[in-house]
Amino acid sequence: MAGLAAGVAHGGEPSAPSAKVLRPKGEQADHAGLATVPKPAPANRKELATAFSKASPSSLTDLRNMEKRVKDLVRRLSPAVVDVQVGNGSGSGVVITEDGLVLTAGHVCGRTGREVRLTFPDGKTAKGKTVGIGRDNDAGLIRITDKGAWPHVAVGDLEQTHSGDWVLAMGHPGGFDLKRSLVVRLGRIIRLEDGALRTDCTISPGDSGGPLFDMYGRVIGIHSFISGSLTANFHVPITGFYDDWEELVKVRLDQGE
Amino acid sequence: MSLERILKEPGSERERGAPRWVGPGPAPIRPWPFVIALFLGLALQIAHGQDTPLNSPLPRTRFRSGDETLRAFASVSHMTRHSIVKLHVDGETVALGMVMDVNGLVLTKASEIKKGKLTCWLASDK
Repeated sequence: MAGLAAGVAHGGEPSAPSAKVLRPKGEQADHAGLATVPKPAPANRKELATAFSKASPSSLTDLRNMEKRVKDLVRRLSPAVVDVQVGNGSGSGVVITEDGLVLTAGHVCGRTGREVRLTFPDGKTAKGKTVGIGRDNDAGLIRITDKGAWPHVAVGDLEQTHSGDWVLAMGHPGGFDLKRSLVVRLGRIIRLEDGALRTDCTISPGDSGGPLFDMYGRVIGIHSFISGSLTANFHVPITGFYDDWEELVKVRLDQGE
Repeated sequence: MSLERILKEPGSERERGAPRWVGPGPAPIRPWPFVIALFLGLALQIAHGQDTPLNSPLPRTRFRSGDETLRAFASVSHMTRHSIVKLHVDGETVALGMVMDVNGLVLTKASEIKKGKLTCWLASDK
């Protein structure tokens, strides 16, 4: 099965070895992985430089170690961060399976079954369709309908995530621009509560649906809402997708596609 | 299992001749479990780099651009701070810039410098 539980992400990122399967009664096929809840990749705090576990970086050495990690992550993760055009609007998204399942924001999708044009950072494009929208949150799901083995990244969880953790926000604010490509912002989690993940990463219109990565390179949130202050923005926690997964894929399963 | 019973268990410390409290009154409280718990707690806090509960809101000083975070740049910023200037057009701040040479050439962002009266403020407020 090439799906959410797929093995290795673009750039060698370990991904989910197995996953919980949601299969409606009488369902034989798994709809190319859609019925499978993503399983988070593991995280190991020991992998990270000590700078990331301090209350604040305290020296140039800390800053250089952080810079090195950010560069590594950007090189590894950015190929999977897409610009999403739906109708006249545009947002961002992130591919999480080799066969092209894309996490985004519900308000970027608008409704299910819409035609989508996705643009990768290198300028390549693909067609897709909106698959689902979260009932209780701003989660959105898109499926790339073109055939291909797409660059993708691992998803994470929030079990080891805390206020103060450093995070990377990526996206295509203002729409795709080949000269500039995607935009990366480093920030910190400023609040983490049930159903609410806030960071001081600056996000702008067009970033909606883009991924928030932890420093292990796992998607832990999706940009949702820009607050009045530049430094207190909201993201859909990745757990919001897991909790609503059945709902997110329900329409497609009901339609028997 | 009660302490009394443990002490009577064959092979227990008491049975093996381990020292026991024989003085008047209740046995003294052994401080080691508390000391160990205290150290474990401190170690966990240090490991997470937090001195506040893990999911309480982050203090503003620790934001990405908070004072505490920016202190890490101090050894570099103190060398350059007097070269950073603030640019006003018609009295309104439009951009920052950096003095590049002793003649006062300033590097800045062109699109922000609109027509009008341009004023350059040094770090010393001149």
